[in-house]
Amino acid sequence: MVTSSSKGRLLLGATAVALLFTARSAHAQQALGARVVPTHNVVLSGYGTVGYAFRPEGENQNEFTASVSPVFLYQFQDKVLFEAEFEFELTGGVTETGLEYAQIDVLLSDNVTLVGGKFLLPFGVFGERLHPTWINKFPTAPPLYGHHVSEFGAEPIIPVLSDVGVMLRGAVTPGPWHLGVTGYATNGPAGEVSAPGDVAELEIPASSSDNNTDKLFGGRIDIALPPWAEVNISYLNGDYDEQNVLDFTGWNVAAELRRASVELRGEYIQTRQEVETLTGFEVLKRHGYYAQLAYRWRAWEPIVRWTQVFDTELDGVVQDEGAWQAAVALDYWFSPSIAVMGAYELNREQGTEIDNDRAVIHIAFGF
Amino acid sequence: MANSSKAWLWAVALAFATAATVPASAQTQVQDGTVAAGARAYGDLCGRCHNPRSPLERTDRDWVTILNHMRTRGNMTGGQVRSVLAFLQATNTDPGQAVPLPTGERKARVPSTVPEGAASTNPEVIARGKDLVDQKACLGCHVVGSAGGQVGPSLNGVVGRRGPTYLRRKMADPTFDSSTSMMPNFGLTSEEVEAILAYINTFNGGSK
Repeated sequence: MVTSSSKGRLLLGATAVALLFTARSAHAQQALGARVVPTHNVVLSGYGTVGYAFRPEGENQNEFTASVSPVFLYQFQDKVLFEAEFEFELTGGVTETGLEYAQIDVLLSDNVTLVGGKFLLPFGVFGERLHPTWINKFPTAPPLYGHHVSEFGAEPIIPVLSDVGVMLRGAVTPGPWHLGVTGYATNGPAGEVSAPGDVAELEIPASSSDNNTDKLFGGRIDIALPPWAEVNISYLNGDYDEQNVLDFTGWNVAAELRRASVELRGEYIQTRQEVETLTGFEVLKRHGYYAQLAYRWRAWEPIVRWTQVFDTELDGVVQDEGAWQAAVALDYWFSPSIAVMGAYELNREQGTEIDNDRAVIHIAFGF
Repeated sequence: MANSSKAWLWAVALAFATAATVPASAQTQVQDGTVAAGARAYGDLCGRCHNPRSPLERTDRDWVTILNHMRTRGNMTGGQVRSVLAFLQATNTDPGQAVPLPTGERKARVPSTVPEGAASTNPEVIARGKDLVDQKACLGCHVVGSAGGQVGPSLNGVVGRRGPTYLRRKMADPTFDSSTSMMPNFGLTSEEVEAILAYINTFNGGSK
């Protein structure tokens, strides 16, 4: 276990190097030099959906759905940006609201940005870049992620994460390459341990309070060769109990290949949660992956997606059976940001006969 | 776990340190803020995650704010933002417009019928076409001759493959055959369309 102080020192070291870099390349933060650069500017953007979901068997579902997520942007010169995304979703006759992120971006140099507030954690790429409904080509999220939860048989491995803290982002473009690195510290996960051997249900809430003195530290390295390929490796680690003893660790490897109208992407996630037992410490391991292949032909885009969550293990002993999902979708694009998307999911929980297949159709729009 | 945590944190520190040591010249070679570099970055970077939006959807002011938003989301550099802005603002033919042009007004620019017939071989028209290809940064996305980007199809031989009539329509309304085409509508006049067609026809094998 890395102690808070050693993690803090290492993060401070990384920050110091970044700030040194910032000072060194301060001259590179040039004026935008564009035709129009506003001193102050407010922009309203966002996305939404109107749809219908139908499940033929299992728990009945036969309902219309609607959601909208406005994104508010305020810019001061070309130095500071405040951005926030709100979420309004109609679920079971109740309007749920949420704050996906509310952050300040300070553009320190051409290559380094400092972020503070509530932000989407750069753990993998789906949560941070692909979750808006018009960008995600499927009407549902990959069920590894607990975002707009699907009817998948297993619990999602991890929610689409956002948390409160600070983040430093850097990017350089040597030759044709695009290299990025991100490091952050946030309040982190919380879980209550009632008795030895209990597996705490973890929450990674974007909360302004913390249940312990340890922070969640993490980061992501991006290696891209635009527009052909990109690989992202993410890591996070933090204690989740009040005594700063039990660790939660996550790994994510994401990859994308593009060629003309074909796009192949996927992510592998592994989490390890320390659990205290009567005899010592054990590790609850969860892992899974998804892969998605899309082909664009004029305004049509057929997509297939395969997701698998493996058995949950505690110190090598299976706790929960895994599940898989095979899904197909067909999109029709009316414009670059408006599409009607129809999908059918085959959801299977291993070891059961439960059939949670589902059909979803919606219109997704970005504005 | 302890070792992996330390290794990861050191990797982040090392990556920042590597960023610090990349020569500024290496970073600026491909991000010069030109329209051509912007056209390429627009396709390469925006297209990594989503369909690139039409430059006409937003005002020049708003593109600055939105590009700064995307700078954080997509880990873009300041140089890349300047390039994409140069492209978006150069191809946004309605600067200062609070909202995109109404559909009817936009369509009014596109002739309902396009001329038939072969491309011009007049040297003056061809020379005018070359100037326009440079001005509009076509090479940001398309190969013409031995240079150009890979975002769009090569224009070498395209007159033979697609025919002059298709290309006239495509230049007048890039979305006529694909609603998600990332090619901007440059608002070209008929004369400009004919000039560009004449120029790219010189890269059509033996039909010069």
